[in-house]
Amino acid sequence: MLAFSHGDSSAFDELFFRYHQRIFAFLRRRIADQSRAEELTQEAFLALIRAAFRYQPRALFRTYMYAIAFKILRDDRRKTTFRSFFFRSNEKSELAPGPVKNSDEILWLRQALGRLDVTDREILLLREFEQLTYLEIADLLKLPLNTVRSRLFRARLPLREQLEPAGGASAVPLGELS
Amino acid sequence: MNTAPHLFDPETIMSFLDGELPAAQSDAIRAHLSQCAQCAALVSKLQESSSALAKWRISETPLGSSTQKHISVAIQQFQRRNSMPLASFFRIVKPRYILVAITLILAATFWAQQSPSRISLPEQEMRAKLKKESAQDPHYPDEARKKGIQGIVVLHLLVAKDGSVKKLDVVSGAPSLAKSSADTVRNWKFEKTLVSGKPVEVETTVEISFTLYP
Repeated sequence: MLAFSHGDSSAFDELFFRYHQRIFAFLRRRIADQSRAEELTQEAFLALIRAAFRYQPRALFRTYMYAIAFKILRDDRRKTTFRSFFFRSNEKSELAPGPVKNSDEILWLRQALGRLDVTDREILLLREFEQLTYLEIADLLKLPLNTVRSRLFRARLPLREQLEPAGGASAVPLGELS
Repeated sequence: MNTAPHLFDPETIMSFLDGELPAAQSDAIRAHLSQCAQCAALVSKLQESSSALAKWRISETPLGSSTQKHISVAIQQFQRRNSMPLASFFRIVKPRYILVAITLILAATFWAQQSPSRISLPEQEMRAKLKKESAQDPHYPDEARKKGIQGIVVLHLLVAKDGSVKKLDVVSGAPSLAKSSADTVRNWKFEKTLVSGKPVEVETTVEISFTLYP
């Protein structure tokens, strides 16, 4: 990123190659609409380019990139809430079920994750899918490290109780969880 | 496997599974797990939870031509900006900081104009502020009286914030009368003059009349 911020555009290609699918997956797990997730992925990289001019390597680039994606997601949710509140738009709700390929699997995963507290769920997803460390999660969500640890524990155990015995689940489009 | 006393709390065991602990502590937990059935069961539960979630996979998205175009344009804009004169300066100093600094300077200038540290007041108004204990009239010098010198001495005063005479200039008048006037007026004390609750310096002009035949 530092190389790109000093004008090496090939360095951006490398970053894009490494993070494009990861950021898309991060957003897709949190957004029901696939095309919206694709748009926001593009927005995240455009925001990265705009921010490159003043980039300072204060943290791992991974944390920096997810922080941008997280901010884009939060802004999008705010806009969606605003629109639905004032204009009763017909846009698909983030909680509406997505395309159903295996309804049972969707149901139990949605139910299990949906029962978690919003922050607990976010911590769990960041740990399990984005593979962030506790410290990175704490930085991203502006929470104390111990809070991240205890909330992660609180999210994992009940999830295990609620999930069906392992087997069968694959490629579940759970974007509706947000 | 026997159940041993718990040396580690469940959250620490979870941190061990997530690779968050230093090597020495991880070794100790590993040894404990081999002896404690309860903690080993906890490990299994946590691992099952992670395994179940790991099955939630997201299909890859193809890179659209629109995305490529937008990104390519953004990179060109970035490179243009990067090659601007003073780019390294603006890399450190954000334009909005410059804007804030200019705004602050303008606000400070405006404030200074609104709250002057020095004002001018007419003699009559300043004489009303003159403290009685210091309000002595100038002595008519004997020599001037003998020579028949009379007239008006005009003095320009700068009164300090505490009410004392900070600076005195003779504007006009006979030198002998002016000296006597200056010596007396220099010791005058005034009440403080306040503007917006704060004391200010005051400029004023004082006229002293010397008359032989009143």
